[in-house]
Amino acid sequence: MRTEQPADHEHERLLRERRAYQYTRALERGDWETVAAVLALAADDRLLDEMIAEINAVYAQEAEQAALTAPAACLNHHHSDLTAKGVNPMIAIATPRQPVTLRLPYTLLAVAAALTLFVGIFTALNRGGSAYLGPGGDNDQVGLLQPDATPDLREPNADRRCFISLEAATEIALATEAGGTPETRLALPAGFGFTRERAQVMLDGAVWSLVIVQAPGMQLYGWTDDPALVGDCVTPVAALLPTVPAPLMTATSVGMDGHAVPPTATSLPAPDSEVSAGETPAECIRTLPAGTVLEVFSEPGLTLSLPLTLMDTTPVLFGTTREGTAELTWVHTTVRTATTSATGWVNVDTLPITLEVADACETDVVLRQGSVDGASVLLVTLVEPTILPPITVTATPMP
Amino acid sequence: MQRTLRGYLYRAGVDTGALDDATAELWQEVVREALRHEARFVAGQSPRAWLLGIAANLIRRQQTEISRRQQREPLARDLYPNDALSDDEVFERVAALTSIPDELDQEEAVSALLHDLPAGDQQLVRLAVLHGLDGRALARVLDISPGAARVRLHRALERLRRRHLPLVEEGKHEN
Repeated sequence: MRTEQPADHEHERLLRERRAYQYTRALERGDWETVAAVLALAADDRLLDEMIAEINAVYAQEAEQAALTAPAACLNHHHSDLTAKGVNPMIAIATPRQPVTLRLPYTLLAVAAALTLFVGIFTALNRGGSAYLGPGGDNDQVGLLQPDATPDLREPNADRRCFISLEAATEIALATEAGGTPETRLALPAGFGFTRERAQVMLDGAVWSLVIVQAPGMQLYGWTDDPALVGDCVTPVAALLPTVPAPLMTATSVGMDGHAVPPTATSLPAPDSEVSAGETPAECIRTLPAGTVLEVFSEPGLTLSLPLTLMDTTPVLFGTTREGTAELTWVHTTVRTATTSATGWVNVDTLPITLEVADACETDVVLRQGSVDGASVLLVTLVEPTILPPITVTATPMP
Repeated sequence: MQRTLRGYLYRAGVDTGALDDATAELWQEVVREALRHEARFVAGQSPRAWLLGIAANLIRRQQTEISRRQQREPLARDLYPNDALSDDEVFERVAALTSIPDELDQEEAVSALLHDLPAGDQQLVRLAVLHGLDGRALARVLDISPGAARVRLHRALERLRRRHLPLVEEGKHEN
């Protein structure tokens, strides 16, 4: 050594060089245990971390060059040693939990989403600042990710979405934006499955997911921070979605600019039109108070219904037709909020208001249309409820 | 990050045609594991090193599974069953040269060590040992990146280890 350096500084330098050497050697011979061990040391040593990052860049470049020139000779003797010695190289890393092996496109957005998520995690864990967050990092700023476009709810994008099933009964609250105030809450039974966007958002230590819930007579779309949705989310979506009866209309996606092609069926209004009682004289809009729980059945008392809680005062459209017997009276109901579209039959006795009050219909109120992340969303009830003639209905227990 | 994972998988022997898919799958697994164990991350640590550590452990786990299925020893032992010297020993031997007080003696010891290495390797080891250049200094001299300088140096040391040091050990035993 010719350069005069303090002894302890030189010792530390040599130690780092040794670690870097161990890392390189371990990487070249496939000793991943040592690789992980050195990385663990680097996590607490910024200089070593930088040295390893520089080394990694070299190996990454070699891999890229190898991919470009494949099946050219390997770039170093080690790789040829692998085949020469008859050792079967690892072909690919399987992911046993996934039922189907997908070609994951991992767009730049998804990568940025994951990295942003991690920045958010580490920011939350290190409010005091960290040298590793990069230049200009603001420890109070959390990564927010929006889906790149309002999705077509009728044709889920297998690359962006996955299917998740609840392990336990859960009440999921849906908001119109990540971190927003929930405006709808839905009670879902254990085993209920629905679609979730793969990309999630970290806000103040909570993971927000964008979910699509579909049930007979009901469709919901919005953001939730329920921990039950952070878990395993599998694909493919198309094969695992619950079977839904063919819709009576064709829905089209709504772009971020809010313009959309109106649905082809005329039984439902175009997305940008308002629904008011004045357009349909046989109906009445009434505002229900916050906390109202509605069980919307596709047929009076039959089939699956999911308790839907309105988190805020919400105008609801009631038909003037009543079905049922003296014991149970059902009213045809349409609920539309920013995150919910539900239409079906509701037991009148479960309502917090009296429908029969004369002149109580609100004529200057319109139902909201779907709106998530500031963009109009076409929420279409997938199952047109059946308008039954007056019959004697015996309510059966829900499964 | 994904670029580094790609490099890892290439080193792990993944076929170049499968690198893209394998990288995406590995990344997904890393993200999943990190979210699952985020409480283990200590404030102030390098997120990059932590995530790469997860990736390394995932690869190791996968290799162990494959080895177990094939009823073989792990790859590392397969490739180097008769190592005379470990990496630490190689590094120590080379680093020990720097502590030879007399310059002439040091030059003689280094020449004896490097005489049958390629010229490029000799230059690298001399610069690192005799002149005490670290990765950054080596990079400036050789006009390459610091990472490339270190990788070249480490590979030169490996070639040195394979060609020379085991023979040196045998010679000592014979004497």
